[in-house]
Amino acid sequence: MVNSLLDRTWSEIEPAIYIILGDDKGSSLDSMMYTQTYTKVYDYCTATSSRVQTLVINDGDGTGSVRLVGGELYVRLQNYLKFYLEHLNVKEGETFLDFYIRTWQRFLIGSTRLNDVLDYINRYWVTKERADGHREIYDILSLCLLSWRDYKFHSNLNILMDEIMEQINNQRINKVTSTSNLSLAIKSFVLLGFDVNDLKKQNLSVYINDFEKKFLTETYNFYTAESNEFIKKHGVVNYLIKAEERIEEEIKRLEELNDHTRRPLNDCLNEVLITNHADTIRAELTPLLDQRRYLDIRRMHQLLKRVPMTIDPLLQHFQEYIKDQGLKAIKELKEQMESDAAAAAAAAAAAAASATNAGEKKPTKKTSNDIDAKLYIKTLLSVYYKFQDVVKQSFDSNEAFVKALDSACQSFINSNAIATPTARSKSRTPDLLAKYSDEMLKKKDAEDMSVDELMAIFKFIDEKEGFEIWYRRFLSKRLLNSNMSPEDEEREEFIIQKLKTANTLEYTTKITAMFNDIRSSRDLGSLYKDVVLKEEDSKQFISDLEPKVLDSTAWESIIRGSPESFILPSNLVKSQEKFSKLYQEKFSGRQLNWVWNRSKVDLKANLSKPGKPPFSFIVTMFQYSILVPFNDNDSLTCSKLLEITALPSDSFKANMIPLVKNKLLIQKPTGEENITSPQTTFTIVKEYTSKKIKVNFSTTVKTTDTKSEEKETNEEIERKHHEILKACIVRVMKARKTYKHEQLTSEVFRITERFKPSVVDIKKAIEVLIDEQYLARTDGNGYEYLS
Amino acid sequence: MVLPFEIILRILNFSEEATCMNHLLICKAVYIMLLPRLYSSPQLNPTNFSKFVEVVSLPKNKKRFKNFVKCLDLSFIIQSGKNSFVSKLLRRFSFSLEIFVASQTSFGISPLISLRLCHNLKVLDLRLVSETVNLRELFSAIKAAPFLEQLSFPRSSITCEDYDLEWPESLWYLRLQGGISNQFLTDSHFPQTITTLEFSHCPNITGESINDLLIRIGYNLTKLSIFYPMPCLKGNSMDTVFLYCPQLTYLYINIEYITKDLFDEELLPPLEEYERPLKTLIVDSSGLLGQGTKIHPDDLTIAICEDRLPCLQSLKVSLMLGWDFKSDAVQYLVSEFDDRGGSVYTL
Amino acid sequence: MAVERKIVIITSDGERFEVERKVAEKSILIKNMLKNLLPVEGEEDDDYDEDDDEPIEVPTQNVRSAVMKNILHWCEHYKDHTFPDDEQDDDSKKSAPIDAWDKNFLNVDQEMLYEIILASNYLNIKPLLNSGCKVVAEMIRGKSPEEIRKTFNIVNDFTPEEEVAIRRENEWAEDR
Repeated sequence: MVNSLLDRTWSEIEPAIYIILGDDKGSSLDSMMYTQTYTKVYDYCTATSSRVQTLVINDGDGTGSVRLVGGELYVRLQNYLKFYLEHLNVKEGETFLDFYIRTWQRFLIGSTRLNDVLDYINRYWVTKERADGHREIYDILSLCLLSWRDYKFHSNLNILMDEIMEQINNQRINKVTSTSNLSLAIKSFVLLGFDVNDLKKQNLSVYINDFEKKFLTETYNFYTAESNEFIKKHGVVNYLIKAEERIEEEIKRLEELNDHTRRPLNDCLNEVLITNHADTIRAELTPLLDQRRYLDIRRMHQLLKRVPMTIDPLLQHFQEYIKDQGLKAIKELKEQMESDAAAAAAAAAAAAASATNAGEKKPTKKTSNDIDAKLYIKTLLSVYYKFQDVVKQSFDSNEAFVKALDSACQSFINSNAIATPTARSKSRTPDLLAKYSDEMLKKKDAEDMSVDELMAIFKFIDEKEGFEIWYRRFLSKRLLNSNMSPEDEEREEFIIQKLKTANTLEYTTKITAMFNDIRSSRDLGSLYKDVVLKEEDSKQFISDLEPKVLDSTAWESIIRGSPESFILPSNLVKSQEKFSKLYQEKFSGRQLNWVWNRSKVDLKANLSKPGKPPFSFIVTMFQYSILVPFNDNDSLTCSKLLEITALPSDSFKANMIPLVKNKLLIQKPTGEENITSPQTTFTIVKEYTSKKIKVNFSTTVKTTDTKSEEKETNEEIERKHHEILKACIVRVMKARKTYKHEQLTSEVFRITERFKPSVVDIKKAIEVLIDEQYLARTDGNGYEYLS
Repeated sequence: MVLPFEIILRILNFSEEATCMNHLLICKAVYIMLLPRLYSSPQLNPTNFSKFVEVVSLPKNKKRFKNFVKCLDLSFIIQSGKNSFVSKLLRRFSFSLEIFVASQTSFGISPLISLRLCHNLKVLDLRLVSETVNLRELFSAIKAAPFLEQLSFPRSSITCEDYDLEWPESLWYLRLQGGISNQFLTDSHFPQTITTLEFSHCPNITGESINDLLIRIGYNLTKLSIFYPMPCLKGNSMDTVFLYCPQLTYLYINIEYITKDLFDEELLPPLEEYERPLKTLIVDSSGLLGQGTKIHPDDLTIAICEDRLPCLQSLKVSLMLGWDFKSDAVQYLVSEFDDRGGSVYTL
Repeated sequence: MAVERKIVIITSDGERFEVERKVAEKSILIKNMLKNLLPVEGEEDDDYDEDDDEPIEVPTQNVRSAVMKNILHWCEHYKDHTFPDDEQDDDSKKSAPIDAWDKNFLNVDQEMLYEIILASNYLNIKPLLNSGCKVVAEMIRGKSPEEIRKTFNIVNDFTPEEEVAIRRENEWAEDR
């Protein structure tokens, strides 16, 4: 009875199931057939269950179980699905893949519908079976898909995968592909994965194991072969384009695949197309840079960028290349300079030889002082700018490449054939840069030099303290020797501003102070003039006084007071006193020292031929003091002059030489060696002859300054370093109280910013601090801070 | 008119007492269908406990109930429980048991060992247990339950030699009680998965070690409760709780362990990335003298007005806090809560 | 979709009910059917394609017109209401009391109540089925096994010995 109901029900619904899954004729499902089938199943389940025929009770051990109705229909369906799927056959002329896609597409629709039509089985019987832990029972849709997996998929997996991969490979070699909807076949792999415990959860196991693995392996193999051959045949540059295209194509292919493949495919492509060839690709960087093929380099970077770890070696290559280029450029410049100098010397020697025949042969020895600062800085800049442009064009101004560029520049700018001729010499770049700025500022319109260039190099200089000191030296000369126009001042201030922003406020304190001194001195000068002109006996004063009142801390070591004894000519004493008084009134408490060896005097000399205007002489204060007594005497002995001026003899000599040489005073007996002999007489000429009406006697006075300037500056730099190091060590020790030597040294290294100290420097500073009782040694190579 | 069997089951399931005797006796099919439900969470009390043990202990029932019992709650069993009973029940239901609440007595070594068989345990509640428990034994029992989500320590004294313990991977609820030591808090690797943490009756625990623990796992906590008494905590031990636990939505605290600094701007700062999610704040009091002046309503009102507790909806304060609910200060606070659709309750 | 096509439900006794689609779709059976019968590629589906203004006919072989009238009344009432359709929430649905409107709606004789329950089960209208089951559950509250059997038309298949055994075995559960 039951069986007959089951048989009857099944025989009634089977034709409909056939149509729903897809029959030969492509018959369509109508609403009558739909509800009739549903109703038949409903009637079967409810009719049977109402009679409680389903109860199975096992009284043996007291356990029992109840099963709802539906199982028998489920089994019939299961068998039917097997039968149905096994009778789906390839049409003539159809590839397996085409067949698979065609039938799968239809079967998937049919399964979804069948799931709804047979809903009553799902709703009660399947639900209860699964709740009771029967994981082998599935809802109707899953049952259909599983049947497909068992009877159509697993048994044909090899041929299916072969044909799918064949299609993909055909696409890769641009062969016309015959199958559309390849993605449908691939998506079937996704739908055929099941999570037995939760059927609603997607499970990619089938897709990953049966499709993705093989796909990735074949992809790897395909591109291994292709890339190797391509590089061999067409070279790296063409390969870069090819690889880019290939990656783009494969990423587009992802639309047909499950998104899970995105990462593994990416990894696979990166490995096979990039990592495996990274060395070969990077080796091309140097030739491409040599040939300035920046677009190709850009392509290289774009490709390698996909695998970040391949970039580091590229950065190193790039950095090394820039450094080499920088060093090479400077070396060439040096050779050029030397050969120019040699040629000039040879020409001079030849000229000298032909002129005097047996003249003294003075081999013009080129010293490093003669390096053309502008040429040097320009050469450094040209390398920097060139590669800055490369970074922009080829590497999108990527931060890492900017850093590589900076490191390379820092290296060759601070040490190269010119800056450090020997490994141990102190870099000359800071003073050459200071000189460059000096040249730029001295010119009225230095079109080919700019503050930006100055700052570009400044950024890379290790020895910023050194630059500051050199800069101040040049600045002092500009301030003292020339009259600055307001435009000049503006340019000076602009640079100071730039230096301040690039460094700290403190860095430019001294420079600014120097600048301000000159400015306030000018005000003092006009104040003095106003005051003096109002005096009744204004004639007694020198009204055109150009005072330069300089703050000793900023100017110290550039300008030092003369050690010499000296008596100021009496006609100037009143002016000096007046100025001193004025100054003290304005700035009480400040001490004013007079630096006579730096003072200059403009004087009018009535030594012209009759009817000609008087000469205008520029002389040093010392020369002036020598000349003044000749107002009352035509001739004076050396001893008399020394007595009047109180100058030490070597200063006297140095100042006298230009006066004698330029034939203002006649010396008897002649010869430099006789200048300081007490009995030597000097006679002033009656009429002075010179083509120029203005004669400067001061410039040729040999001062001790010029000779040892470089030495002095370097000493100052060292002093400054020492100070900074001491301050730095004290700061560290104050915080740490006790510290090991190595730790202290490394920390000091780390926090010193404006120059790079040497271990010896630090050691020396520590020793001094121990002597000064700021620090004490502790047991075991350490120090203790003493407060 | 006959209803299908599946509909009859559905009707019985909707009934308030689905598993009552009248239903069991309808027919065999219904009986079999209802039996697992009856046993899945047996309602046990001192009167029926021994009958229940007797039934499930019968040899013929050994297999029958194996997969039925999911929740075994012995909290109402006081004296009638014996170690051997509990141990037997645990063994019998080990396959299906997900929730176990131990009784006050009878949780000795043999139940602890039987617990190792319960691989599907999700909740282990020992809060009533007053017998000494060895921590290492407890953890080796827990180790067998990889899905354990909730754990309550016994309130008894606890012995422990070392703290290199393996915590369950998905534990999110933890109640610490009894004789745990400060070293346990500081040395054991509490998992980051914990989102609910409770302290109760820990006579040895100091504020320092609680804060040390909160520094490590406080960031993930959404609920924190600290019950009275915790004798080693100081009057301000928990003032920093908002600093360490920025994600709290619920805080239960006793006035004994906090001062008004709890609401200070330094310790309760506005958060930058998101709004501080605290929704419920409960301030209880033990009623001891000298606690009345510790927190003034204004202390909280200020924090609320400065928008440092933007999500706070519900405030429960103990009557013993000594607040005058008719005072302006409390009334103002109440109106602040009204404005944001929340309310103030008394405990 | 310019004008929505009407749905005509045809009952077992041949009566036709023309309803809005959203009313008909309270029945998951009908909703799924409509979804499934939309034209799909690769099929000859001339049924609905040509005459879009023709109503869609839905035969419901197991429901007679008197019951269908009631069912459609219910569907009409809830046509703009969305029920949460997650299966997980069964427990909370179980404890929820019967909706007042439903209670009134189901205040019919037992015959009709059973028919409505059966029809809602057949048509797969879960909220109505649940309300119906709750009404019956209230009916059997506190009733003896024999009375319940009568309500459900079930035959007692226990022997007296079995009954005694069950009573004894589960005695603990009655001690609450």
